[in-house]
Amino acid sequence: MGKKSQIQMGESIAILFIFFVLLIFGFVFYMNIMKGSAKVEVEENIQLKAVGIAQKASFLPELQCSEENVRVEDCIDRHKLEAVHNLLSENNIYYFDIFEFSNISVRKVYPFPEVGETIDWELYDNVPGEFTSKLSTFIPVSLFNSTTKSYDFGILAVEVYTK
Amino acid sequence: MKKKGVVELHFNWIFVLIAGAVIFAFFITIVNKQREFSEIKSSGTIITNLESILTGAQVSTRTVNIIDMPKVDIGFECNRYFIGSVPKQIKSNVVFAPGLLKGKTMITWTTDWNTPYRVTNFLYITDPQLRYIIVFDASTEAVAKKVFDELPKEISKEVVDVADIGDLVDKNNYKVKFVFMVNDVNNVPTADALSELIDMADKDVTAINVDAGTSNVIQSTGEMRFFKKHGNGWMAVNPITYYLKQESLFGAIYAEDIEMYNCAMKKAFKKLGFVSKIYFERSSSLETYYGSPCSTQHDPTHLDSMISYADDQLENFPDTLGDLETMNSIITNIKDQNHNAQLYSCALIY
Repeated sequence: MGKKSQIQMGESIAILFIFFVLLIFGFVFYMNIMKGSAKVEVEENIQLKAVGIAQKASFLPELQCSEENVRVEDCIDRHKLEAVHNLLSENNIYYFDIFEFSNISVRKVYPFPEVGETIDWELYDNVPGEFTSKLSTFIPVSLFNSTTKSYDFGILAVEVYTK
Repeated sequence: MKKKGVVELHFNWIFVLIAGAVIFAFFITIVNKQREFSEIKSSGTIITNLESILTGAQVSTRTVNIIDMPKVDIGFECNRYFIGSVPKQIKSNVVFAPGLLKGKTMITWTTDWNTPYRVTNFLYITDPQLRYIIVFDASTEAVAKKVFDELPKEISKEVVDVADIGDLVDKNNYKVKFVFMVNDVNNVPTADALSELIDMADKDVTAINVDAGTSNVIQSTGEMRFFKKHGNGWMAVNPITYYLKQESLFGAIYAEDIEMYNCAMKKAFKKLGFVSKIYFERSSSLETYYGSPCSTQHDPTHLDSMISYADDQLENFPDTLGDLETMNSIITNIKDQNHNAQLYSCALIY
């Protein structure tokens, strides 16, 4: 092969090399952007899951108030509240499908409690040993006492953990 | 041409060929990777949408949603669904759906299952490309039309007289479900229904024969049998199964087969047991709290029976129609108790 041809070949290889280097740069850049958007999507999904669990908790038939089977929104029946903790802990596997890794509790905030009165009810507690994120949702609810037909104010706290 | 020139020319061509092949392979790899990635991404998007639907189904009732989807096959089993090859658990949700949805649109409908208190919501999923044909005879016309009216208007449904069933035409639906409300459920329905659908695959044409009563009110419990197309006739699927409340009858209309229906109903009975336990505890404490007459209205005996029957159905459904009829009587008794509690100004049971 002549020297001129060898130079031509060298040029072609150099062009191809630069072409591939640019292509790889472009590809790496694109992948990084994709990774970033996937991260945002994962973040959004975690938030969506947390909102979903909070919604499920506040609409649970085991907790919700009803009048002649007509649901009362954002209302928790005090008499159901007393019974629900045992049910949820006895059937932890079933309720794990609904609440996953989370902690759900109800706290009475008004009227101010009398001495010895129960104001905290822990409904579900499944907190993993290690977690990467924790999202808390606090839902104001009314606590209905069907015997006195009175309502108190309370907070339904739903903390969702991601491993 | 000189020998040296020929070698140089050949080498150039070989070089171009190798370089071209490398560039070509590089782009094909990228396109393939990108295709796989976008398939997984769109499956993920559909799963997120379906998860939101499943969550929504637990919190709102009597709602119909029409959801536009990318053209992708969605397979349903009792405990999981598939988007392409990506599986996802349905968990404790009670879902009635065909085995495969192929369309670009999905229709979801939610109803609440009350016994007599709200237990859970049923989610029904279908596609406008699926055809539902309700068949009645002289004695069941009123109830067949009631079922037709209760089903969402968005689905492809029609109601026909058994005498006119031979006039049905094939509308190129990929699945057809007949809901016979004729004769005894043990009888094989008329094969005339299949005259125009004979070319459809056996698995794509299914039927149920339901005893929903003869008045214009759907009876609370009844028996029904699933059928499969077998050539130019019907083949009965064993065993007979039952429904409790019209919501579960609608479940049988939407469900792919008896296994999916029974499995979804068992999930519903499991939840019934849990919710009944809460009402049992609640009524027991109210019975202790009140004196007569309110304590009588909160006697939890019927709720206790409901727990026993729900637990029994969880193990043995579908056992006998008698069990579901007894459950229906318990529902009536609890309703009466609740009504009396209201009359005496006591706290309500539910």
